[in-house]
Amino acid sequence: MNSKPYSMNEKEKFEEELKLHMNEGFQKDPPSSNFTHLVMQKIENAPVKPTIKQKPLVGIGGWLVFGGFAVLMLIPLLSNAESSFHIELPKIKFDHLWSHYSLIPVTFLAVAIFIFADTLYRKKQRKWN
Amino acid sequence: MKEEQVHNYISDVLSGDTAAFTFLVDEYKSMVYSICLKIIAHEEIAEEAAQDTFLKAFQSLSKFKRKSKFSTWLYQIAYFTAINAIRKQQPELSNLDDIAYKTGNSMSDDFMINQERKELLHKAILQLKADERGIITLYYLDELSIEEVASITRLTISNVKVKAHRCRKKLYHILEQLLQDEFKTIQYE
Repeated sequence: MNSKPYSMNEKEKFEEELKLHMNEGFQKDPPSSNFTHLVMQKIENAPVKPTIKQKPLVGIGGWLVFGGFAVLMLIPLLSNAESSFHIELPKIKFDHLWSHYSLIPVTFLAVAIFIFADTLYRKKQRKWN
Repeated sequence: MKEEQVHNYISDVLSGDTAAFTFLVDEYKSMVYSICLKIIAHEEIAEEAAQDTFLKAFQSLSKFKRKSKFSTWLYQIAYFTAINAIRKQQPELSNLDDIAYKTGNSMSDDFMINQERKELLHKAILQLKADERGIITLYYLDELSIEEVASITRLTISNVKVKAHRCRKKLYHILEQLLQDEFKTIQYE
């Protein structure tokens, strides 16, 4: 064996040699000529295909904000507190509407419609994927 | 290929145009295969690992966030696929006689000395653990910056440097041991 052993003061040389070794022939040996074809064949036979993940219309954060507002609306109603805030309703007679449909059921109905729509949307998403 | 063009091909693939992935394979196959080959040091297994890299990339393409470069994301898959391939094939790869280190035709004395050193270094690298081999390979590649190596290996830059230093030290000791063994063999003969 003609190779000189590495001594401690040859560490820099060793590092240089290591660098040369790692870069030697790098990207010079290509994969087989039918590499792309083989990859595409594997992809065609693959059970999982990538798809764009559609985000739901209302995310978790959105629902939390929405729920928070619903709770805030319910608190004064349930506590029977009198509000100093009065709104001047326009001439389309909303007061007449509220007398027929009270605010609480309407709020709950709106929330229920949103939840129903979101559930339907998520179910459809799962089917598409 | 520009990053924008790469993103266009990715969007095409995600829209259902599987054939658009061919352009990405053609663009990166050489680099992916070379990384796998350097880490695995076995042509057939490296080719298999490179193919698996592209298959995995295709299947998880929707998870690519486009915050980093596509190449870095792809090399990360290649790195971990190659390391797993070594772990799976460890008995086969540890048989050093099966691994042919490419030599040239020239037979001059200098060439032989040089070649022997290279072969010894190659043997020493093969004795490293899979992840150590991966780190040291990527660390010394001119094509990759230290930031890219950190992203690929999912380590911090300082961690990469520390690990590379440890691997180099270990490699140095393996090499010393190999040289001593070779020397003993010659003396015995």
